[in-house]
Amino acid sequence: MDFAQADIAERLDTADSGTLDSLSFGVVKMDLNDVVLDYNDAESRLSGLSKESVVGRNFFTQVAPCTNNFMVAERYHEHDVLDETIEYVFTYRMRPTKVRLRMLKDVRRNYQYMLVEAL
Amino acid sequence: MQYRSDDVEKLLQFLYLAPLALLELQRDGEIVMMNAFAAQYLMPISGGRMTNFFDVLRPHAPEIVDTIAAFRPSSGSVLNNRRISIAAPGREGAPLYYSLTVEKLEDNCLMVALTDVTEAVEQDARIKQAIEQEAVQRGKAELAASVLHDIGNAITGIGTTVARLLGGEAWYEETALRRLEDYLRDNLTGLEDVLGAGKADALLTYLGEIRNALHDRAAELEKDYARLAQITTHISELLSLQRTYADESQTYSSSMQCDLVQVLEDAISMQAAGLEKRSVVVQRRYPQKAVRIFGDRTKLVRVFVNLLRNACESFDRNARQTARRDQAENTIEIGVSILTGPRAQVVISDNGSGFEPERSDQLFDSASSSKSSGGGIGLAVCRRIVAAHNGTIELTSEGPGQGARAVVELPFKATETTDHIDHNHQEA
Ligand SMILES: Nc1ncnc2c1ncn2[C@@H]1O[C@H](COP(=O)(O)OP(=O)(O)OP(=O)(O)O)[C@@H](O)[C@H]1O
Ligand SMILES: [Mg+2]
Repeated sequence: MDFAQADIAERLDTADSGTLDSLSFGVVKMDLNDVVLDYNDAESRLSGLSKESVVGRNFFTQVAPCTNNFMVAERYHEHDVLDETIEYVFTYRMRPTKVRLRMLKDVRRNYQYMLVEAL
Repeated sequence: MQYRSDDVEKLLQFLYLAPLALLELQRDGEIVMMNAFAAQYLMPISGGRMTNFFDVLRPHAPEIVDTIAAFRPSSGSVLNNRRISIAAPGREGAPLYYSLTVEKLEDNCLMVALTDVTEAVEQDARIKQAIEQEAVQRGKAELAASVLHDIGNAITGIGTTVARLLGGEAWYEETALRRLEDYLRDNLTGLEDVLGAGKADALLTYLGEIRNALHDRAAELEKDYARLAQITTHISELLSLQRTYADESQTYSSSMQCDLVQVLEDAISMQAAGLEKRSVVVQRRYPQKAVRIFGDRTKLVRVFVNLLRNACESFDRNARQTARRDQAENTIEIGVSILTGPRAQVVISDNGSGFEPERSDQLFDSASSSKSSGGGIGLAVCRRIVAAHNGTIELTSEGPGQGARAVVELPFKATETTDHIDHNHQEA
Protein backbone atom coordinates (compact mmCIF):
# COMPACT_ATOMS: atom_id res chain seq x y z
CA MET A 1 0.00 0.00 0.00
CA ASP A 2 1.10 3.49 -0.84
CA PHE A 3 0.40 6.87 0.90
CA ALA A 4 -1.04 8.49 -2.21
CA GLN A 5 -2.82 5.44 -3.60
CA ALA A 6 -6.36 6.27 -4.82
CA ASP A 7 -8.25 3.30 -3.39
CA ILE A 8 -6.32 3.11 -0.13
CA ALA A 9 -9.39 3.55 2.09
CA GLU A 10 -11.05 0.36 0.80
CA ARG A 11 -7.80 -1.55 1.32
CA LEU A 12 -7.38 -0.21 4.86
CA ASP A 13 -10.95 -1.25 5.67
CA THR A 14 -10.07 -4.89 5.17
CA ALA A 15 -6.46 -4.80 6.43
CA ASP A 16 -5.75 -6.31 9.84
CA SER A 17 -3.63 -4.73 12.56
CA GLY A 18 -0.52 -6.62 11.49
CA THR A 19 -0.82 -5.32 7.94
CA LEU A 20 -1.17 -1.73 9.20
CA ASP A 21 1.93 -2.18 11.35
CA SER A 22 3.96 -3.22 8.32
CA LEU A 23 3.31 0.11 6.55
CA SER A 24 6.05 2.77 6.40
CA PHE A 25 3.69 5.71 7.04
CA GLY A 26 1.50 6.42 10.06
CA VAL A 27 -2.13 5.27 10.07
CA VAL A 28 -4.80 6.37 12.54
CA LYS A 29 -8.02 4.41 12.14
CA MET A 30 -11.08 5.99 13.75
CA ASP A 31 -14.79 5.41 13.91
CA LEU A 32 -17.06 8.21 12.66
CA ASN A 33 -17.09 9.76 16.15
CA ASP A 34 -13.30 10.29 16.05
CA VAL A 35 -12.62 7.45 18.51
CA VAL A 36 -9.31 5.71 17.73
CA LEU A 37 -9.72 2.05 16.74
CA ASP A 38 -6.20 1.34 15.56
CA TYR A 39 -2.86 3.17 15.63
CA ASN A 40 -0.07 1.58 13.66
CA ASP A 41 3.59 1.13 14.61
CA ALA A 42 4.87 3.84 12.27
CA GLU A 43 2.59 6.39 13.93
CA SER A 44 3.63 5.13 17.38
CA ARG A 45 7.26 5.63 16.49
CA LEU A 46 6.57 9.21 15.30
CA SER A 47 4.48 10.27 18.27
CA GLY A 48 6.05 8.20 21.02
CA LEU A 49 2.57 7.10 22.06
CA SER A 50 1.80 3.42 22.46
CA LYS A 51 -1.16 1.85 20.68
CA GLU A 52 -2.69 0.92 24.06
CA SER A 53 -2.58 4.47 25.37
CA VAL A 54 -4.40 5.78 22.34
CA VAL A 55 -7.04 3.25 21.31
CA GLY A 56 -10.52 4.11 22.60
CA ARG A 57 -9.79 7.81 22.99
CA ASN A 58 -10.99 10.76 20.96
CA PHE A 59 -8.25 11.56 18.49
CA PHE A 60 -8.83 15.32 18.06
CA THR A 61 -9.44 16.23 21.70
CA GLN A 62 -7.55 13.61 23.71
CA VAL A 63 -4.72 12.33 21.56
CA ALA A 64 -3.70 15.11 19.20
CA PRO A 65 -5.27 18.45 20.18
CA CYS A 66 -2.80 20.05 17.79
CA THR A 67 -5.21 19.02 15.03
CA ASN A 68 -8.34 20.28 16.76
CA ASN A 69 -8.89 23.32 14.55
CA PHE A 70 -10.60 24.18 11.30
CA MET A 71 -7.70 22.93 9.21
CA VAL A 72 -8.03 19.33 10.33
CA ALA A 73 -10.74 18.34 12.84
CA GLU A 74 -13.38 20.64 11.39
CA ARG A 75 -12.77 19.28 7.90
CA TYR A 76 -13.69 15.82 9.15
CA HIS A 77 -16.77 17.24 10.86
CA GLU A 78 -17.96 19.37 7.98
CA HIS A 79 -17.66 16.83 5.21
CA ASP A 80 -19.37 13.52 4.62
CA VAL A 81 -16.83 12.55 2.03
CA LEU A 82 -13.25 13.72 2.41
CA ASP A 83 -9.98 12.89 0.72
CA GLU A 84 -7.53 15.73 1.10
CA THR A 85 -3.80 15.98 1.61
CA ILE A 86 -2.23 18.91 3.44
CA GLU A 87 1.10 19.81 4.96
CA TYR A 88 0.94 20.32 8.68
CA VAL A 89 3.08 20.59 11.78
CA PHE A 90 2.67 17.97 14.46
CA THR A 91 4.15 18.45 17.88
CA TYR A 92 5.39 14.96 18.55
CA ARG A 93 7.01 14.85 21.97
CA MET A 94 6.85 18.67 22.07
CA ARG A 95 8.99 18.99 18.95
CA PRO A 96 7.49 20.73 15.93
CA THR A 97 7.57 18.14 13.18
CA LYS A 98 6.56 18.79 9.60
CA VAL A 99 4.25 16.14 8.24
CA ARG A 100 2.00 15.45 5.29
CA LEU A 101 -1.53 14.48 6.27
CA ARG A 102 -4.02 12.62 4.17
CA MET A 103 -7.53 12.96 5.56
CA LEU A 104 -9.94 10.24 4.55
CA LYS A 105 -13.60 9.95 5.35
CA ASP A 106 -16.73 8.56 3.75
CA VAL A 107 -19.87 8.28 5.87
CA ARG A 108 -21.08 5.32 3.84
CA ARG A 109 -18.24 3.33 5.40
CA ASN A 110 -17.74 2.72 9.11
CA TYR A 111 -14.25 4.16 9.45
CA GLN A 112 -12.28 7.30 8.85
CA TYR A 113 -8.49 7.54 8.58
CA MET A 114 -5.64 9.90 8.97
CA LEU A 115 -2.45 9.00 7.14
CA VAL A 116 0.74 10.67 8.33
CA GLU A 117 4.03 10.93 6.54
CA ALA A 118 7.00 12.76 8.12
CA LEU A 119 8.68 15.22 5.78
CA MET B 1 16.51 13.67 40.85
CA GLN B 2 15.89 10.52 38.90
CA TYR B 3 12.66 10.02 36.95
CA ARG B 4 11.36 6.62 36.03
CA SER B 5 10.61 6.46 32.35
CA ASP B 6 6.83 6.31 32.82
CA ASP B 7 7.04 9.39 35.07
CA VAL B 8 8.77 11.20 32.27
CA GLU B 9 6.08 9.95 29.91
CA LYS B 10 3.37 11.34 32.22
CA LEU B 11 5.12 14.65 32.55
CA LEU B 12 5.44 14.88 28.81
CA GLN B 13 1.75 14.11 28.31
CA PHE B 14 0.86 16.68 30.95
CA LEU B 15 2.72 19.42 29.13
CA TYR B 16 1.65 18.18 25.74
CA LEU B 17 -2.06 18.15 26.57
CA ALA B 18 -2.15 21.21 28.86
CA PRO B 19 -5.08 23.33 27.63
CA LEU B 20 -3.00 26.35 26.76
CA ALA B 21 -0.34 26.87 24.17
CA LEU B 22 3.22 26.51 25.48
CA LEU B 23 6.33 27.17 23.42
CA GLU B 24 10.02 27.37 24.02
CA LEU B 25 11.89 29.70 21.68
CA GLN B 26 15.46 30.63 20.90
CA ARG B 27 16.29 34.32 20.98
CA ASP B 28 15.65 34.57 17.21
CA GLY B 29 12.18 33.07 17.61
CA GLU B 30 13.03 29.55 16.39
CA ILE B 31 10.68 27.04 18.01
CA VAL B 32 12.49 24.50 20.15
CA MET B 33 9.44 22.90 21.76
CA MET B 34 5.73 23.38 21.52
CA ASN B 35 2.73 21.52 22.83
CA ALA B 36 -0.46 20.42 21.11
CA PHE B 37 -2.49 23.56 21.82
CA ALA B 38 0.29 25.69 20.41
CA ALA B 39 -0.09 23.90 17.10
CA GLN B 40 -3.87 24.05 17.35
CA TYR B 41 -3.84 27.84 17.83
CA LEU B 42 -0.96 28.79 15.61
CA MET B 43 -1.19 26.49 12.58
CA PRO B 44 -4.25 28.24 11.14
CA ILE B 45 -2.56 31.65 11.29
CA SER B 46 0.91 30.53 10.27
CA GLY B 47 0.30 29.73 6.65
CA GLY B 48 1.80 26.29 7.28
CA ARG B 49 5.27 27.56 8.26
CA MET B 50 5.71 26.79 11.90
CA THR B 51 9.41 26.78 12.57
CA ASN B 52 9.81 30.36 13.78
CA PHE B 53 7.37 32.00 16.22
CA PHE B 54 8.32 35.52 15.17
CA ASP B 55 7.57 34.69 11.53
CA VAL B 56 4.16 33.37 12.53
CA LEU B 57 3.32 36.45 14.59
CA ARG B 58 4.87 39.21 12.49
CA PRO B 59 2.08 39.59 9.90
CA HIS B 60 -0.52 39.87 12.67
CA ALA B 61 1.25 41.80 15.42
CA PRO B 62 4.62 43.18 14.33
CA GLU B 63 4.88 45.43 17.41
CA ILE B 64 4.77 42.38 19.66
CA VAL B 65 7.65 40.76 17.80
CA ASP B 66 9.62 44.00 18.14
CA THR B 67 8.89 44.18 21.88
CA ILE B 68 10.14 40.64 22.41
CA ALA B 69 13.22 41.09 20.24
CA ALA B 70 14.06 44.38 21.94
CA PHE B 71 14.01 42.88 25.44
CA ARG B 72 17.59 43.33 26.69
CA PRO B 73 17.88 41.79 30.19
CA SER B 74 19.05 38.20 30.20
CA SER B 75 15.96 37.08 32.07
CA GLY B 76 12.60 38.45 33.22
CA SER B 77 9.05 39.11 32.22
CA VAL B 78 8.81 40.31 28.62
CA LEU B 79 5.04 40.41 28.14
CA ASN B 80 2.27 39.73 30.63
CA ASN B 81 -1.15 38.70 29.31
CA ARG B 82 -0.87 41.02 26.33
CA ARG B 83 -4.02 40.81 24.24
CA ILE B 84 -3.54 40.59 20.50
CA SER B 85 -6.18 40.44 17.80
CA ILE B 86 -5.59 38.33 14.78
CA ALA B 87 -7.43 38.29 11.49
CA ALA B 88 -8.09 34.58 11.13
CA PRO B 89 -9.11 32.74 8.02
CA GLY B 90 -12.45 30.97 8.16
CA ARG B 91 -14.08 33.37 10.60
CA GLU B 92 -15.71 35.81 8.18
CA GLY B 93 -13.68 38.78 9.27
CA ALA B 94 -14.25 38.29 12.98
CA PRO B 95 -10.82 38.45 14.61
CA LEU B 96 -9.41 35.93 17.06
CA TYR B 97 -8.10 37.25 20.36
CA TYR B 98 -5.09 35.65 21.99
CA SER B 99 -3.59 36.53 25.32
CA LEU B 100 0.18 36.29 25.25
CA THR B 101 2.68 35.92 28.09
CA VAL B 102 6.41 35.77 27.38
CA GLU B 103 9.08 35.06 29.96
CA LYS B 104 12.79 35.15 29.27
CA LEU B 105 14.48 32.32 31.18
CA GLU B 106 17.97 32.57 29.80
CA ASP B 107 19.77 34.46 27.14
CA ASN B 108 18.77 32.04 24.43
CA CYS B 109 15.55 30.69 25.95
CA LEU B 110 12.10 32.27 25.88
CA MET B 111 8.94 30.62 27.27
CA VAL B 112 5.66 31.57 25.67
CA ALA B 113 2.17 30.89 26.98
CA LEU B 114 -0.78 31.70 24.79
CA THR B 115 -4.52 31.35 25.45
CA ASP B 116 -7.49 31.92 23.21
CA VAL B 117 -9.66 34.61 24.82
CA THR B 118 -11.86 35.23 21.79
CA GLU B 119 -15.00 33.99 23.50
CA ALA B 120 -14.47 36.14 26.58
CA VAL B 121 -13.75 39.23 24.46
CA GLU B 122 -16.81 38.68 22.31
CA GLN B 123 -18.98 38.15 25.37
CA ASP B 124 -17.68 41.35 26.96
CA ALA B 125 -18.45 43.22 23.77
CA ARG B 126 -21.96 41.78 23.64
CA ILE B 127 -22.67 42.71 27.25
CA LYS B 128 -21.29 46.20 26.77
CA GLN B 129 -23.42 46.73 23.69
CA ALA B 130 -26.54 45.46 25.44
CA ILE B 131 -25.95 47.78 28.38
CA GLU B 132 -25.47 50.75 26.07
CA GLN B 133 -28.61 49.98 24.08
CA GLU B 134 -30.58 49.60 27.27
CA ALA B 135 -29.34 52.92 28.57
CA VAL B 136 -30.15 54.74 25.33
CA GLN B 137 -33.63 53.27 25.22
CA ARG B 138 -34.30 53.99 28.84
CA GLY B 139 -33.00 57.54 28.40
CA LYS B 140 -35.32 58.13 25.45
CA ALA B 141 -38.31 56.74 27.26
CA GLU B 142 -37.57 58.77 30.36
CA LEU B 143 -37.09 61.97 28.40
CA ALA B 144 -40.33 61.41 26.52
CA ALA B 145 -42.17 60.62 29.74
CA SER B 146 -40.89 63.71 31.49
CA VAL B 147 -41.66 66.05 28.58
CA LEU B 148 -45.15 64.61 28.36
CA HIS B 149 -45.55 65.00 32.10
CA ASP B 150 -44.61 68.69 31.95
CA ILE B 151 -46.95 69.37 29.05
CA GLY B 152 -49.61 67.47 30.96
CA ASN B 153 -49.20 69.78 33.93
CA ALA B 154 -49.52 72.88 31.74
CA ILE B 155 -52.66 71.51 30.11
CA THR B 156 -54.10 70.78 33.53
CA GLY B 157 -53.66 74.48 34.34
CA ILE B 158 -55.59 75.49 31.20
CA GLY B 159 -58.27 72.94 32.07
CA THR B 160 -58.77 74.44 35.52
CA THR B 161 -59.11 77.96 34.09
CA VAL B 162 -61.60 76.83 31.49
CA ALA B 163 -63.63 75.02 34.12
CA ARG B 164 -63.76 78.17 36.22
CA LEU B 165 -64.95 80.20 33.21
CA LEU B 166 -67.63 77.61 32.47
CA GLY B 167 -68.89 77.50 36.02
CA GLY B 168 -68.98 81.33 36.27
CA GLU B 169 -72.23 83.23 37.06
CA ALA B 170 -74.42 84.72 34.34
CA TRP B 171 -73.18 88.08 33.18
CA TYR B 172 -73.76 90.85 35.72
CA GLU B 173 -73.97 93.50 32.94
CA GLU B 174 -77.04 91.84 31.48
CA THR B 175 -78.91 92.00 34.80
CA ALA B 176 -77.85 95.58 35.34
CA LEU B 177 -79.18 96.57 31.92
CA ARG B 178 -82.49 94.83 32.63
CA ARG B 179 -82.78 96.74 35.90
CA LEU B 180 -82.12 100.00 34.04
CA GLU B 181 -84.82 99.13 31.48
CA ASP B 182 -87.32 98.36 34.27
CA TYR B 183 -86.49 101.62 36.01
CA LEU B 184 -86.99 103.66 32.85
CA ARG B 185 -90.23 101.88 32.02
CA ASP B 186 -91.57 102.68 35.51
CA ASN B 187 -90.72 106.34 35.01
CA LEU B 188 -91.76 106.52 31.38
CA THR B 189 -94.07 109.56 31.78
CA GLY B 190 -91.42 111.73 33.40
CA LEU B 191 -88.95 110.66 30.75
CA GLU B 192 -91.35 111.58 27.91
CA ASP B 193 -91.64 115.03 29.41
CA VAL B 194 -87.94 115.54 29.17
CA LEU B 195 -87.15 113.74 25.88
CA GLY B 196 -90.41 114.17 24.03
CA ALA B 197 -92.98 111.48 23.19
CA GLY B 198 -91.67 108.55 21.12
CA LYS B 199 -88.05 109.29 22.02
CA ALA B 200 -88.38 107.57 25.41
CA ASP B 201 -89.84 104.47 23.73
CA ALA B 202 -87.04 104.43 21.20
CA LEU B 203 -84.49 104.60 24.05
CA LEU B 204 -86.12 101.60 25.73
CA THR B 205 -86.07 99.59 22.51
CA TYR B 206 -82.43 100.53 22.00
CA LEU B 207 -81.49 99.36 25.48
CA GLY B 208 -83.39 96.10 24.91
CA GLU B 209 -81.42 95.49 21.73
CA ILE B 210 -78.11 96.05 23.49
CA ARG B 211 -79.18 93.65 26.22
CA ASN B 212 -80.16 90.97 23.68
CA ALA B 213 -76.90 91.35 21.80
CA LEU B 214 -75.00 91.00 25.08
CA HIS B 215 -76.99 87.90 25.93
CA ASP B 216 -76.25 86.32 22.55
CA ARG B 217 -72.54 87.00 22.91
CA ALA B 218 -72.50 85.51 26.40
CA ALA B 219 -74.22 82.37 25.09
CA GLU B 220 -71.73 82.15 22.24
CA LEU B 221 -68.77 82.52 24.57
CA GLU B 222 -70.17 79.83 26.82
CA LYS B 223 -70.37 77.52 23.83
CA ASP B 224 -66.74 78.34 22.99
CA TYR B 225 -65.69 77.61 26.59
CA ALA B 226 -67.46 74.28 26.42
CA ARG B 227 -65.62 73.46 23.21
CA LEU B 228 -62.32 74.55 24.78
CA ALA B 229 -63.02 72.32 27.76
CA GLN B 230 -63.71 69.42 25.42
CA ILE B 231 -60.46 70.03 23.55
CA THR B 232 -58.36 70.25 26.74
CA THR B 233 -59.86 67.01 28.02
CA HIS B 234 -59.09 65.41 24.68
CA ILE B 235 -55.48 66.64 24.77
CA SER B 236 -55.09 65.40 28.35
CA GLU B 237 -56.35 62.00 27.33
CA LEU B 238 -53.98 61.86 24.36
CA LEU B 239 -51.07 62.87 26.58
CA SER B 240 -51.80 60.30 29.19
CA LEU B 241 -52.07 57.66 26.50
CA GLN B 242 -48.71 58.76 25.06
CA ARG B 243 -47.22 58.65 28.55
CA THR B 244 -48.34 55.07 28.88
CA TYR B 245 -46.45 54.24 25.72
CA ALA B 246 -43.39 56.21 26.77
CA ASP B 247 -43.34 54.52 30.15
CA GLU B 248 -44.01 51.05 28.88
CA SER B 249 -41.79 51.22 25.82
CA GLN B 250 -39.47 48.78 27.53
CA THR B 251 -41.76 45.81 27.65
CA TYR B 252 -42.19 44.09 30.96
CA SER B 253 -41.25 40.45 30.85
CA SER B 254 -42.86 38.09 33.31
CA SER B 255 -39.59 36.20 33.60
CA MET B 256 -37.84 39.19 35.22
CA GLN B 257 -37.24 38.91 38.89
CA CYS B 258 -35.93 41.19 41.55
CA ASP B 259 -35.49 41.48 45.26
CA LEU B 260 -38.18 43.73 46.69
CA VAL B 261 -36.11 44.88 49.65
CA GLN B 262 -33.29 45.88 47.31
CA VAL B 263 -35.76 47.76 45.14
CA LEU B 264 -36.97 49.68 48.21
CA GLU B 265 -33.44 50.40 49.39
CA ASP B 266 -32.55 51.69 45.92
CA ALA B 267 -35.58 53.96 46.00
CA ILE B 268 -34.62 55.23 49.46
CA SER B 269 -31.09 56.05 48.36
CA MET B 270 -32.38 57.80 45.24
CA GLN B 271 -34.63 59.92 47.44
CA ALA B 272 -31.92 60.37 50.10
CA ALA B 273 -31.45 64.10 49.50
CA GLY B 274 -35.17 64.82 49.90
CA LEU B 275 -35.37 62.74 53.05
CA GLU B 276 -32.34 64.39 54.58
CA LYS B 277 -33.50 67.91 53.76
CA ARG B 278 -36.65 67.33 55.82
CA SER B 279 -34.88 65.32 58.55
CA VAL B 280 -37.14 62.37 57.87
CA VAL B 281 -36.76 59.30 60.08
CA VAL B 282 -37.17 56.17 57.96
CA GLN B 283 -38.28 53.07 59.84
CA ARG B 284 -37.98 49.74 58.05
CA ARG B 285 -39.74 46.46 58.78
CA TYR B 286 -38.43 43.86 56.36
CA PRO B 287 -38.65 40.06 56.45
CA GLN B 288 -35.36 38.39 57.26
CA LYS B 289 -35.05 36.63 53.92
CA ALA B 290 -34.87 38.10 50.45
CA VAL B 291 -38.29 38.67 48.89
CA ARG B 292 -38.04 37.65 45.23
CA ILE B 293 -40.83 39.16 43.18
CA PHE B 294 -41.64 39.09 39.48
CA GLY B 295 -40.97 42.46 38.01
CA ASP B 296 -38.90 45.06 36.30
CA ARG B 297 -36.55 46.43 38.90
CA THR B 298 -36.03 49.86 37.33
CA LYS B 299 -39.71 50.56 36.91
CA LEU B 300 -40.59 49.46 40.41
CA VAL B 301 -37.84 51.64 41.82
CA ARG B 302 -39.48 54.60 40.04
CA VAL B 303 -42.81 53.74 41.64
CA PHE B 304 -41.37 53.72 45.15
CA VAL B 305 -39.29 56.84 44.52
CA ASN B 306 -42.51 58.67 43.65
CA LEU B 307 -44.28 57.38 46.75
CA LEU B 308 -41.37 58.52 48.91
CA ARG B 309 -41.24 61.87 47.12
CA ASN B 310 -44.95 62.38 47.65
CA ALA B 311 -44.55 61.62 51.33
CA CYS B 312 -41.64 64.06 51.59
CA GLU B 313 -43.60 66.74 49.78
CA SER B 314 -46.52 66.22 52.11
CA PHE B 315 -44.28 67.22 55.03
CA ASP B 316 -43.76 70.58 53.30
CA ARG B 317 -47.52 71.13 53.00
CA ASN B 318 -47.90 70.19 56.63
CA ALA B 319 -45.32 72.75 57.65
CA ARG B 320 -47.09 75.47 55.65
CA GLN B 321 -50.58 74.68 56.87
CA THR B 322 -50.04 74.28 60.59
CA ALA B 323 -47.89 76.86 62.24
CA ARG B 324 -47.11 74.59 65.17
CA ARG B 325 -46.39 70.96 64.35
CA ASP B 326 -47.95 68.37 66.67
CA GLN B 327 -45.53 65.63 65.71
CA ALA B 328 -41.99 66.33 66.58
CA GLU B 329 -40.49 64.27 63.76
CA ASN B 330 -41.20 63.61 60.11
CA THR B 331 -41.49 59.84 59.94
CA ILE B 332 -41.88 57.40 57.06
CA GLU B 333 -42.47 53.75 57.88
CA ILE B 334 -41.73 51.10 55.26
CA GLY B 335 -43.01 47.60 55.90
CA VAL B 336 -42.77 44.49 53.71
CA SER B 337 -44.84 41.38 54.33
CA ILE B 338 -46.03 38.30 52.49
CA LEU B 339 -49.72 37.67 51.98
CA THR B 340 -51.40 34.51 50.76
CA GLY B 341 -51.91 34.45 47.03
CA PRO B 342 -48.91 34.63 47.29
CA ARG B 343 -48.36 38.34 47.15
CA ALA B 344 -45.77 40.68 48.58
CA GLN B 345 -47.14 43.75 50.29
CA VAL B 346 -45.31 47.03 50.78
CA VAL B 347 -46.80 49.63 53.11
CA ILE B 348 -45.32 53.13 53.11
CA SER B 349 -46.93 55.37 55.73
CA ASP B 350 -46.04 58.93 56.62
CA ASN B 351 -47.20 61.44 59.22
CA GLY B 352 -47.41 64.25 56.67
CA SER B 353 -50.27 66.44 55.42
CA GLY B 354 -52.72 63.69 54.54
CA PHE B 355 -55.89 64.54 52.57
CA GLU B 356 -59.68 64.24 52.62
CA PRO B 357 -60.41 60.48 52.62
CA GLU B 358 -62.78 60.73 49.65
CA ARG B 359 -59.99 62.17 47.43
CA SER B 360 -58.06 58.96 47.67
CA ASP B 361 -59.17 57.57 44.29
CA GLN B 362 -59.09 60.77 42.32
CA LEU B 363 -55.41 61.32 43.22
CA PHE B 364 -54.65 58.56 40.71
CA ASP B 365 -56.23 60.51 37.84
CA SER B 366 -53.49 61.59 35.50
CA ALA B 367 -54.39 65.26 35.96
CA SER B 368 -54.48 65.41 39.75
CA SER B 369 -50.99 66.62 40.54
CA SER B 370 -51.31 69.31 43.16
CA LYS B 371 -48.10 70.97 42.11
CA SER B 372 -47.72 73.50 39.34
CA SER B 373 -44.49 71.95 38.07
CA GLY B 374 -44.10 68.25 38.63
CA GLY B 375 -40.82 66.48 38.23
CA GLY B 376 -42.06 63.09 39.36
CA ILE B 377 -43.86 60.44 37.41
CA GLY B 378 -47.18 60.88 39.17
CA LEU B 379 -49.47 58.40 40.85
CA ALA B 380 -51.29 57.64 37.58
CA VAL B 381 -48.10 56.28 36.04
CA CYS B 382 -47.31 54.43 39.27
CA ARG B 383 -50.63 52.67 39.03
CA ARG B 384 -50.04 51.75 35.37
CA ILE B 385 -46.62 50.30 36.15
CA VAL B 386 -47.92 48.33 39.12
CA ALA B 387 -50.92 47.13 37.09
CA ALA B 388 -48.55 45.94 34.35
CA HIS B 389 -47.00 43.76 37.07
CA ASN B 390 -50.42 42.35 37.97
CA GLY B 391 -50.29 44.30 41.19
CA THR B 392 -52.38 46.93 42.95
CA ILE B 393 -51.60 50.29 44.50
CA GLU B 394 -53.76 52.32 46.92
CA LEU B 395 -53.24 55.58 48.76
CA THR B 396 -55.40 56.41 51.75
CA SER B 397 -55.59 59.01 54.50
CA GLU B 398 -57.89 59.47 57.47
CA GLY B 399 -58.01 63.18 56.83
CA PRO B 400 -55.94 66.35 56.51
CA GLY B 401 -53.11 66.36 59.02
CA GLN B 402 -53.49 62.64 59.66
CA GLY B 403 -50.72 61.38 57.39
CA ALA B 404 -51.10 59.01 54.44
CA ARG B 405 -50.61 55.32 53.76
CA ALA B 406 -49.61 53.82 50.42
CA VAL B 407 -50.10 50.08 49.93
CA VAL B 408 -48.52 48.25 46.98
CA GLU B 409 -49.14 44.56 46.38
CA LEU B 410 -47.19 42.49 43.87
CA PRO B 411 -47.15 38.81 42.91
CA PHE B 412 -44.55 36.95 44.91
CA LYS B 413 -42.21 34.23 43.61
CA ALA B 414 -43.96 31.08 44.79
CA THR B 415 -40.97 28.79 45.37
CA GLU B 416 -39.82 30.58 48.49
CA THR B 417 -43.28 31.27 49.85
CA THR B 418 -43.52 28.80 52.71
CA ASP B 419 -40.55 30.15 54.53
CA HIS B 420 -41.77 33.66 54.42
CA ILE B 421 -45.32 32.88 55.46
CA ASP B 422 -44.04 30.95 58.47
CA HIS B 423 -41.70 33.73 59.32
CA ASN B 424 -44.53 36.25 59.28
CA HIS B 425 -46.81 34.07 61.35
CA GLN B 426 -44.17 33.98 64.02
CA GLU B 427 -43.91 37.73 63.95
CA ALA B 428 -47.66 38.26 64.18
N1 LIG C 1 -48.22 60.86 50.96
C1 LIG C 1 -49.09 61.80 50.59
N2 LIG C 1 -49.63 62.64 51.51
C2 LIG C 1 -50.49 63.57 51.11
N3 LIG C 1 -50.89 63.79 49.85
C3 LIG C 1 -50.39 63.01 48.91
C4 LIG C 1 -49.47 61.97 49.21
N4 LIG C 1 -49.15 61.35 48.06
C5 LIG C 1 -49.83 61.98 47.10
N5 LIG C 1 -50.56 62.96 47.56
C6 LIG C 1 -51.44 63.86 46.80
O1 LIG C 1 -51.68 63.27 45.55
C7 LIG C 1 -51.32 64.17 44.52
C8 LIG C 1 -50.90 63.43 43.30
O2 LIG C 1 -49.62 62.87 43.47
P1 LIG C 1 -48.75 62.59 42.20
O3 LIG C 1 -47.55 61.87 42.61
O4 LIG C 1 -49.63 61.93 41.18
O5 LIG C 1 -48.40 63.99 41.63
P2 LIG C 1 -47.44 65.08 42.28
O6 LIG C 1 -46.62 64.48 43.34
O7 LIG C 1 -48.26 66.25 42.67
O8 LIG C 1 -46.56 65.50 41.06
P3 LIG C 1 -45.43 64.64 40.41
O9 LIG C 1 -45.86 64.46 39.04
O10 LIG C 1 -44.19 65.44 40.57
O11 LIG C 1 -45.32 63.34 41.15
C9 LIG C 1 -50.26 65.04 45.14
O12 LIG C 1 -50.15 66.26 44.51
C10 LIG C 1 -50.75 65.18 46.57
O13 LIG C 1 -51.74 66.15 46.65
MG1 LIG D 1 -45.45 62.69 43.02
